[in-house]
Amino acid sequence: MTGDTSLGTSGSPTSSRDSVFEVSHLYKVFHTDSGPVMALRDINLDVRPGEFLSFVGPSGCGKSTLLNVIAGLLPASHGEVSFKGQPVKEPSRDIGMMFQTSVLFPWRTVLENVLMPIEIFGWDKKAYKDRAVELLAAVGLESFVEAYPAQLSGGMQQRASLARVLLYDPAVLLLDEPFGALDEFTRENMNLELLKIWSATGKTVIFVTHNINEAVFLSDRVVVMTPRPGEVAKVLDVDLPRPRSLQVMKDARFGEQVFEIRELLGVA
Amino acid sequence: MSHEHGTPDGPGGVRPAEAWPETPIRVVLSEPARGVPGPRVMDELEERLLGSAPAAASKRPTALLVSLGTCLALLLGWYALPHLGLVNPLLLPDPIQVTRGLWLLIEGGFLPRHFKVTLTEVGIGFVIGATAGFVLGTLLALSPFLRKILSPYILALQSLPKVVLAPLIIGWLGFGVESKIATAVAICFFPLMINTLVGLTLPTDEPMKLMSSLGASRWQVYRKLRLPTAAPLIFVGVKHSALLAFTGALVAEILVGSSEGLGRLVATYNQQIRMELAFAVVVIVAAMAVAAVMFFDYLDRKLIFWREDKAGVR
Repeated sequence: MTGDTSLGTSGSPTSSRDSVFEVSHLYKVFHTDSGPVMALRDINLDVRPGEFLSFVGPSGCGKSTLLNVIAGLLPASHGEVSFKGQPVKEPSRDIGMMFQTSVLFPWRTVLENVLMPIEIFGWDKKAYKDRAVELLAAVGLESFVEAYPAQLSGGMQQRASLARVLLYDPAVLLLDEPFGALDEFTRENMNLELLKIWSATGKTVIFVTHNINEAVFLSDRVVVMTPRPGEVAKVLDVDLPRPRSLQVMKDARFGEQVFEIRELLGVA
Repeated sequence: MSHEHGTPDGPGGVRPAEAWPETPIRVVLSEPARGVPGPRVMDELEERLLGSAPAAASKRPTALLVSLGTCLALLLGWYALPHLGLVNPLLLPDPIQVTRGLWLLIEGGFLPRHFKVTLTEVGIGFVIGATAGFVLGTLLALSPFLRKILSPYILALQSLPKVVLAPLIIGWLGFGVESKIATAVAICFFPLMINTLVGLTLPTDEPMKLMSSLGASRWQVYRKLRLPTAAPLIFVGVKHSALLAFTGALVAEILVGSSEGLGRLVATYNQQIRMELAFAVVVIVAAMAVAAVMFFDYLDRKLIFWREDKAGVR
């Protein structure tokens, strides 16, 4: 069992005892009106400290479900997820989430939105205000601190959402298609910023996407998932050098790895 | 790369145009700009296009004239109907007669008494009905169990035209103020209950997940997410309830042979075929209702400043 000390050693091979998350024999069945549906089947996975890991698969392959089980938002039907050696039973403050929508509350200013987790934890908001403003500046929203979310573009809303999760400094970020609703140019920008933040903070990131290019561009490893019932087809090591810029996409190796995933998903 | 070209980056274009130009998109990685041309000098055509005043700006006085004209035309039409013999003048007094009736009522000095009685019935009925509607709506929203066992009865009661209860209520509570308040309560209770129930269950999956991921308590989810999300709908319910409280109190007044209240006045003048007086009371009731709606509209704008014809967090 290791603590936060091992964070930031991205890319180094680790034994399973050093895992942030250990997923073993995880099954998830949903009981719907039209009968039971197996969303996840026998998922086994280790998430290494400080790594950037992506889940890639077609819509409905259960990648978001897997993320929610890992986050402690959904119970497993069978099997177990452990976080730093402890079984996951409920959400933890050490795990921060971002979603496809920014989930900013329209009745709160950007700053009040960013401070909301602090309020919920019952921490001293005043002590976090300066840090919140600093983070908003870091994501390029310095002139929108007192603005309301409706005054922000979609990309800016996701930046605010990113600042919100960074403020309480969880060791792990679980990102559920966070930039999926943004246009291509904004998404590329957001991805570059995310990489910068990730390498500066040493956080472990799990990133759910259906965009293969994005997954390869960002990740240390890509978990390729099959259509329902969701299973792990392969965990692919991305061996592109870091730090990465968009130039990486010109690299022949980038194309090969993207193509390998396409083949695994049957869309080659 | 800078953003002076204003690449739209939101789904559905939610951003207001004026917020855009100063948007700083921070480039974190020190990357060379990707073929974005720098700012360039505007040519004559562009300057002319950007400099011209919007054509719509000069149309405002016309709109005012149109609404004044409409108002005048309606008054004239009303005046013409009895005078052209299209409607019996006994049944439809013209605007001038109604104004005179209004003056007679005010001069008579008994109006404040009736006004106060009706306002009290409506006020008390609204406060009780709205509070009960809000509380029950909240309980139903937060307890799926209660919702399940009570929903058939609620549906039955909801479909029932509540006015039909008025004679029963009068039978139970007598001819005093109580039966009018109770009728107002019965009629104004539902819209607020339904809107509270619907509003509080409005938050979608992702906001709920965010709250859970933060370990928010049920109370925190209610206070910080559900209630503000529901607020715009609750306010619509409040307005609706306030107007229905008028309906309830007036219906009960008209049904009961009581001696006080504006509804009673209308019924009495109607029987006496003093139509200009009956119409004058209607004008007063209409003014009260309009004042109530304006008051709640004002509160709505102040309290629910984020309303954009959409409720809830997406």
